[in-house]
Amino acid sequence: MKFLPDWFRRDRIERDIDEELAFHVEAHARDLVSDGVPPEEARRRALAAFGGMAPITELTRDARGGRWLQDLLSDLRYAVRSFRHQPGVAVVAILTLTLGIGANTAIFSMVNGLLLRPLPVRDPGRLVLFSDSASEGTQSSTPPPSGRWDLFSSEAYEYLRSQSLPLEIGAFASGEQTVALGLPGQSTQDLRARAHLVSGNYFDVIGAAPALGRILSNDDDRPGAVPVAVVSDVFWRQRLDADPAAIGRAITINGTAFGIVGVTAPGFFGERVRRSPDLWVPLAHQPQVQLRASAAARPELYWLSLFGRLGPSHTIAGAQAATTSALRQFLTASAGAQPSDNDRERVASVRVQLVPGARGISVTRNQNRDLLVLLLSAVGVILLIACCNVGTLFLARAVARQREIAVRRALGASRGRLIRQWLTESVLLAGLGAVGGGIVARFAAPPLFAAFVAASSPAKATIDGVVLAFTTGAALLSSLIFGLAPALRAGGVDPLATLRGAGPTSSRRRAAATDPFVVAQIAMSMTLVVAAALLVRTLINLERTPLGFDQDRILLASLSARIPGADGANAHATDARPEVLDLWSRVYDRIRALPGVESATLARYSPFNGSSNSSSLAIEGYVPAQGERVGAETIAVGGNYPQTMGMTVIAGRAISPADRPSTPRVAVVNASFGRKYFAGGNAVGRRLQIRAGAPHEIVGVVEDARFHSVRTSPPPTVFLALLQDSYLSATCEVQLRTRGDAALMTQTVRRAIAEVDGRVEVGRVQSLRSQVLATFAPERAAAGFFVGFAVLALFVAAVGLYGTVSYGLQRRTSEIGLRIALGAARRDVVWLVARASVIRLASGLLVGALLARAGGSLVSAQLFGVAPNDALSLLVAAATLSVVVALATVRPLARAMRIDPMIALRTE
Amino acid sequence: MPTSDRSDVLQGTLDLLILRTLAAEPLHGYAIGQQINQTSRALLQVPQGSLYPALHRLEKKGLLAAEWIDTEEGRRAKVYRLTRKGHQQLAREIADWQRVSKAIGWVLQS
Repeated sequence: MKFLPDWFRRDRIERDIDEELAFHVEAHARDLVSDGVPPEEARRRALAAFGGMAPITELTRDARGGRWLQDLLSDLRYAVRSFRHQPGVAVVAILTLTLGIGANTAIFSMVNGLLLRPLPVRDPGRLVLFSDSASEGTQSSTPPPSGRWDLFSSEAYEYLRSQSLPLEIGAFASGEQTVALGLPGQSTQDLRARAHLVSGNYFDVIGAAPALGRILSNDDDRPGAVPVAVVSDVFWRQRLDADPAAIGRAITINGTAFGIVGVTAPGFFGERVRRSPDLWVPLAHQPQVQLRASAAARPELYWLSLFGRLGPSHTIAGAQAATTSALRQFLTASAGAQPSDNDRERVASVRVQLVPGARGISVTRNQNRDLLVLLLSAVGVILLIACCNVGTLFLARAVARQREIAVRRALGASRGRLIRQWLTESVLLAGLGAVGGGIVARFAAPPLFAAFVAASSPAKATIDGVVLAFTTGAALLSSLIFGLAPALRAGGVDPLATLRGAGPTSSRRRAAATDPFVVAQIAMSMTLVVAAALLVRTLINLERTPLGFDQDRILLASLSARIPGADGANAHATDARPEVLDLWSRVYDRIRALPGVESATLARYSPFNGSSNSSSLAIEGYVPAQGERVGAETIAVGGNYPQTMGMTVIAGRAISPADRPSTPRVAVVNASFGRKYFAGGNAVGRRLQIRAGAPHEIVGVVEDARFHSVRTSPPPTVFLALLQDSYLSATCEVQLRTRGDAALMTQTVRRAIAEVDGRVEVGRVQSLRSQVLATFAPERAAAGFFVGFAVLALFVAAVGLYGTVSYGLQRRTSEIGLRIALGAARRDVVWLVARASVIRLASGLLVGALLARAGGSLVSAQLFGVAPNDALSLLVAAATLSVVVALATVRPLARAMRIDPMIALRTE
Repeated sequence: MPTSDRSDVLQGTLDLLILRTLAAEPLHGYAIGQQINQTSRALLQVPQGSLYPALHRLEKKGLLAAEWIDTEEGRRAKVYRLTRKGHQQLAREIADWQRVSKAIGWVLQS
């Protein structure tokens, strides 16, 4: 880079060249003088022989290189000077670009944070996942009969690991476990921590080094190994006071002592992009962590998620084929010596599907990917609008500066040089816009990101190198879009014609040059307004759809019982059941008696809280079709359930508080269930079997209700008696119908439940309405973002249109003055100015409607209860744009009305 | 001035002439032009101005080094000399030139 020092010494070098050339001429002249030529004549001849000082100086300077930089600097200086002449244009252009680029940078930083950024581990590109569907907390005790496997038994995992495959496979339990924690030297009870069960090679496979101590090893994961744990950096700082001596100390997890062997690096959070677990514990200690029977001993329990690190020079496809065939071998071996045809068929259909795992697993990402991509395209449209806007200004400037350009060409500036000069101005503006946009995004992105991602998640919408590269690219691209047309126009100026013609070109032609930009702005704004209208209508539709239960005046409180081993899923916890039964009964009685409570019930989970529970069934008298899986959603509820929730009992009775372990087992089904399994016939009195034990008699049928999503129709559902069944569990929800505002009862309910028994822990208390509304968060975010985008687009377009109309009017002042002087009515003058706006609006709306129609498929996945070509939304958008165009035209119009013909003509 | 017995410096040979001239002694630009003029017995005319872009280009390439010295008349003159790299380049170019002129000679005599 030799030109750099040269460039800094530019002034000295130029002086040197001047001096050197002058010396040459003088030396020549002196020689001529000594030959007898008179001094004056000698000097003249020396100069002539030299061949012109200026061009030689120029050529010599060029020979030294680094010329482009100098040109760039002089172009920049020129650009700054020309913008100083018209600060208004520059300010409007920079602000417009700041908004456009800022919106893009903000949304892209979100896309980057959620969709693109890799895990902070060694060589994340080699990680693969057996599933990224992120189904968490799932475990199943029936094997996936066929097709893709994403959950594995301990036995299957051990088998795959023992094979020599092109990837090393690690495993983790599906879902974290909240455990009771005991710290050394602290007697505090009630400490909780989130533990993640992982295979011994987990850290090796994911590629994480410890910040302190060591990571887990395969030896830690053998049956009978000394219990050890690795803790997170945050846990180590907050709970262990960042004490390096914590390594080797013991903590207790659910009462079992575990030695701390290591601390993870700061920023490491595991395979899931969310708040890091506190502890990582080898799979071998699953019984102590989950307080359940050993999962490793149950070959039918599918509870492990797998991931892997590809060996060098292996591909995903190869690893997938090898793993699939290994899995089939395993299944063939475990099917026994004489597999049935059914078994063979199943084994042949089984496969694993590997997906790239560099970015880890993220529920939030899966949920919001489409929306974020949609948002990115929307801000892309905003940037285009901004570019059109600035392009309009630039074209107008190019036309206004034609004479200046012609002079520069006549003085010898080449066409390419002029184009470069104009593009430099564009890049300068875009660069300033990018700086402004970066600042806007820096502050706007994090709060916007919160609409998608919890603050505790490690996914952040920060401005990193990738984002900066994107912003730079966006700025350069925009400068080309808005700068190229004016630049080419400037380059194409014919100096002779322009200078000879000397007068301004026809005003209509000048307006026509900027018209496509204006029409494009209106059209593109229209698409955003249409999309915003569609999404707002979607949100309204979602919120208004009847769900089959009341939402107002229903309060929910989630409870958990701190009774050891009370988890109903634990086969060994039967001892605790009477205790839990008694506990829930007393809570129920207390709540029901509260003043202000109309009725109350219990339930394993409430609508729209994200839980669901499905079971396989055998239904008396129903013959399943070949290969059909008979099943239904099963929810355990207390007495008065339909009454409290506002659901209609169609036939029979509801679950009653009197349905106890001592009475016959009962069930209530919903209408869908009756339609599907009894062909609409009477369900009451029929019996069904769920797992082992006595069958349930159906005692009633309730109307369908949407419990999970407004968009899907309710599945067949069975309601069981919470106080009767094995579904009795350590967690449940109290649901109560209040007389007044549900939210006002929150504190009363909390206190009342706490008074019943100290072992009941009250979690979240909120109204059912807010729980339902919370599930529309993505749709609300989409609608909110698009309304914001539409407003932004309209604002930018209005500024652009205002500028165009004012500018056009300014150029036509004398024409209008002449018309008035010749007797034109004010009305005609108004029409003269307004006509252009009306034509632009009409063509913009037309193109916009076509664009909106074409882009409809992009949003259709986000819509509910409204078609992408919804007429009302189109009308709303057209009306909004008409108002905006009218507003942008009114002021210039008023000015046109006030034009004084005498003044207007005199200024010409 | 008659052109038949004088030639403008061939395209691309100016560098060679400059290098050869400076191989003998360091000189300033004007002297280089004079020197070429004399040694070619006034058959080669170097357009004076075109010397300087060439000198600066060669300096930038590192074939020449320059320093400012005070002349007897009390003026500052920029004096160029050949660098080691310049000497090597000169040897290469002379070899090239001889090969080419020999080849052209054969073609013309054939």
